[in-house]
Amino acid sequence: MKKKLNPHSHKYLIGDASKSWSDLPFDLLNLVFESLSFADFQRAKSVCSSWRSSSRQCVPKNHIPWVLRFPQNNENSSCMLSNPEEKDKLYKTQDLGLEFAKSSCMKTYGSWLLMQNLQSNLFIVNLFTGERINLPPVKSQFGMTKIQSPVFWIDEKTKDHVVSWARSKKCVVYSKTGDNSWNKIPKTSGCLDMVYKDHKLYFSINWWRTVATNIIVTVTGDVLEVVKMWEPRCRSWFFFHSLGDEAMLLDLGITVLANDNDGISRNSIYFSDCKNANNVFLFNLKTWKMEKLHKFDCSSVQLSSSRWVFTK
Amino acid sequence: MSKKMIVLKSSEGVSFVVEEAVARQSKIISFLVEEFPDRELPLTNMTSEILRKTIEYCKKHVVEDDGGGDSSSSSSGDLKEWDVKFVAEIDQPRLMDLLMAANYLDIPSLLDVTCQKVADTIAACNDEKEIRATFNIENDFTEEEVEAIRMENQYPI
Repeated sequence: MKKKLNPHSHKYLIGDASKSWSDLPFDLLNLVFESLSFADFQRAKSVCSSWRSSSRQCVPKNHIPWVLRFPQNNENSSCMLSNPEEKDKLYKTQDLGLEFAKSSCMKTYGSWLLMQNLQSNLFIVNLFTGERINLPPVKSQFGMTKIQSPVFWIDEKTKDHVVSWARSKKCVVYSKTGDNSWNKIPKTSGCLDMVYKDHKLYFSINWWRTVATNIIVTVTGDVLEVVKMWEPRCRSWFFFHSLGDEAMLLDLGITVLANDNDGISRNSIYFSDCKNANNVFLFNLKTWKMEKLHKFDCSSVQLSSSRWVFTK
Repeated sequence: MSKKMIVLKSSEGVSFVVEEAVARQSKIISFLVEEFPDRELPLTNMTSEILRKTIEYCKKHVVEDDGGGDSSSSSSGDLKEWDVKFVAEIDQPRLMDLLMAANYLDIPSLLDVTCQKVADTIAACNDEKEIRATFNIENDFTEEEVEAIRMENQYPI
């Protein structure tokens, strides 16, 4: 069998002192770039023309969730993005042509948003490409109904998707790629919260004295339940579990691997303020201290709710 | 039983005699050894200095099979520590050579270690100016390009 030898780097004498880092072949530069964080990648792109050309073929590793903030008024249809690594910066997305004042984001998955418009219809849209997938009509099938705990999953390449939500407390419905209507899942009344992860749907049901429940599926697939109890004498959240190297994103129902260098703190819970969604807080389980995620001043832009997205 | 040795020859014609198991960590050498047994292998585009450094890495990482199954010569924690020290001691120009050697000889673990070291070095810089200074890279952008980059990167409000 004739195997082709590695074609790269032949033109160089390896060890020859005359080379410069700007001569590093693109495929090798990209290997380096792939392990850079977003901010470092931005800097590396601006070093020289060869690094810049190389960066065009490369997507930096990005497992860190960003905070997406929606505009409040109608004139603006760009969203603002901020990442936990650069605490003082806001980035603007391109204009998606969506009227954010007339639709609301119900959930995110990666860089996809599950949106509901004023006619109660649901669709999925990609934050960066603007690609849109319409879902079966809700109103014509169920009449006026409240969409609770929506969850979804989409494959970045094939665009295969699953969307599921609870019809008040009646039952859970879902729709897959190609479906024309919503399908009921039997024996699912009283659903409080759902998480869809790794092709499994997790849901919790009402039990004694709970006012709110969040299910969290961890990186390793363990399921945690964060329960708010109705207990008049006690107003604090109790949490008995250490998250170790993970950080919990309460709104998404998942945990992510955290590395303090990337800006996401380990063993912490991230959640947004229900009254003022501009604020994202983190609660450190080790120190029991609460802090605000971003330090920039939001008052200069009118923004409504915020969501976590993954920018890859 | 004596171990099988092979000869690698650098661009300067210097011969390095290494155990076959050590050299076989390079997928290219592994292939060449099978195709051309009992011949010295000319690595005409690698200097002795870089070849020596590469062999030093391979010697440390060889998985010895002395009939006792897979037992690495060091524990994985020790190896990691050794790797960190190994790349930390290499200066910038040599690091690039080693990265290219790892790619040319197809030694995946050495490629990972060297790429990570470069990434860490970039990450330790505060801005692109510092990256240029650290890696001794000339800023070759035209004014138009500088402006284009500024437009691309600057969304902060």
